[in-house]
Amino acid sequence: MKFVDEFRDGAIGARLASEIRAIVEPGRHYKIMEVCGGHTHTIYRYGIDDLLPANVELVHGPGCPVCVIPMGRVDDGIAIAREEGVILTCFGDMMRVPGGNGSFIDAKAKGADIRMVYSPLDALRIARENPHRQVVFFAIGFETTAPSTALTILRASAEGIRNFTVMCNHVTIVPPLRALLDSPDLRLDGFIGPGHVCTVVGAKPFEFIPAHYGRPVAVGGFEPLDFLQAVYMVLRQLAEGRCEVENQYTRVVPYDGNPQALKVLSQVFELRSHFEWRGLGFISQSALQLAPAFRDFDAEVRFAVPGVRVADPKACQCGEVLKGVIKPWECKVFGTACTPEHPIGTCMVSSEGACAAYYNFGRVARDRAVV
Amino acid sequence: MRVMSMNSQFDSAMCKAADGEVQEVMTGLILNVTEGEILLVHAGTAIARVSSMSDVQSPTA
Repeated sequence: MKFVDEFRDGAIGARLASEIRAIVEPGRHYKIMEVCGGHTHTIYRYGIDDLLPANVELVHGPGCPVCVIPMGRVDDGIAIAREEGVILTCFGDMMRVPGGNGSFIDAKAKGADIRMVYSPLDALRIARENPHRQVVFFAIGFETTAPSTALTILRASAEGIRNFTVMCNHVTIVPPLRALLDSPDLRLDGFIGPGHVCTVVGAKPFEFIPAHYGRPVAVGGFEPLDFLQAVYMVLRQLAEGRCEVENQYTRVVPYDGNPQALKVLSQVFELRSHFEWRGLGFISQSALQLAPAFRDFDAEVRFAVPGVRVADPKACQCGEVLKGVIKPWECKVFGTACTPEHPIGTCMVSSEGACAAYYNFGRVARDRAVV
Repeated sequence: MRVMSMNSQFDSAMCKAADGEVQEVMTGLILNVTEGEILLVHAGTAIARVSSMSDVQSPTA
């Protein structure tokens, strides 16, 4: 397949792995964080970590949109879904995310009308087909997904559809990265930038990482060779004493982003003063809400939302996993009480979650010798 | 996804995925979309135009 096969070439992968082995200093331990759930999925689907020297450690950051949703927001969504005449719609990954009182799928089993959609446009279609019902889209995702929600709201407005609202949980990637970089718990040597987020915002917003924290960044794509090459680019910067933002994913990422998408985002959304991230706590200006001109489409304005903060289960260590402090298999309940079939934490729900990626691709445990 | 046909009224297009599935995709974020192009689609919205292969960086070190 064009644009795919050439980025899965095993011979080139072996050559890249060899270049990586040649460029790392023996005895130095490198920690490189990826901050996109798609990258985490790529690493374990293709066994990228097995191609790397043992002293190059990949650390998984808070890049899975499902994983960072706090339990209280799930409960808020369920409260809306239980309102008379409401159809709550969401992406499939959200259906099994545990809240304080069960998941969306549990609420659906108890009678709430909750439907899975592939896009916000599907939710708008349901609203069009059910003019006497209130259709709510439970929106999640980073800057990659937020433009889709924004365009759908603009279309609902243009079509005069009034029974459609959005419960906005869109988040932005830069504030949690700052929080991680300010954390004394975590020593990182470099970052793989989130390729699809960067199609929207560009690589430029990540310049603060080399400028203020002295860490190199390479924006990477999602095929195995994309990711390997991005790792190589970070290691090459470290070897050459450079520190900047490089763009491996040039076939879709413009350095300054997509101006149309940025314009739509600023038209429809504004920053929330603060938002709770699972495992990271409240981070200021790290999420989006609908701008005043679009409040008619804001589910949190139209419906009563409890807004209660719910503490994560004590056994669950998703917070430490999301911060890269522990590996999934180091969590006390990984693969035992917490599995993809019966997740306790969000990281085991989505295929982009670090725990689910480890589990689904057979990485229940790993023991590698450090050279 | 490959663009099959355009709907200029709503800035959308019918697009075909590699597995043959055809769906409506919002194209308002990409200027001057034309039939036959390949778009990167996320959550039902085209977020980027995929460069022609001549522009693609070689996946080598």
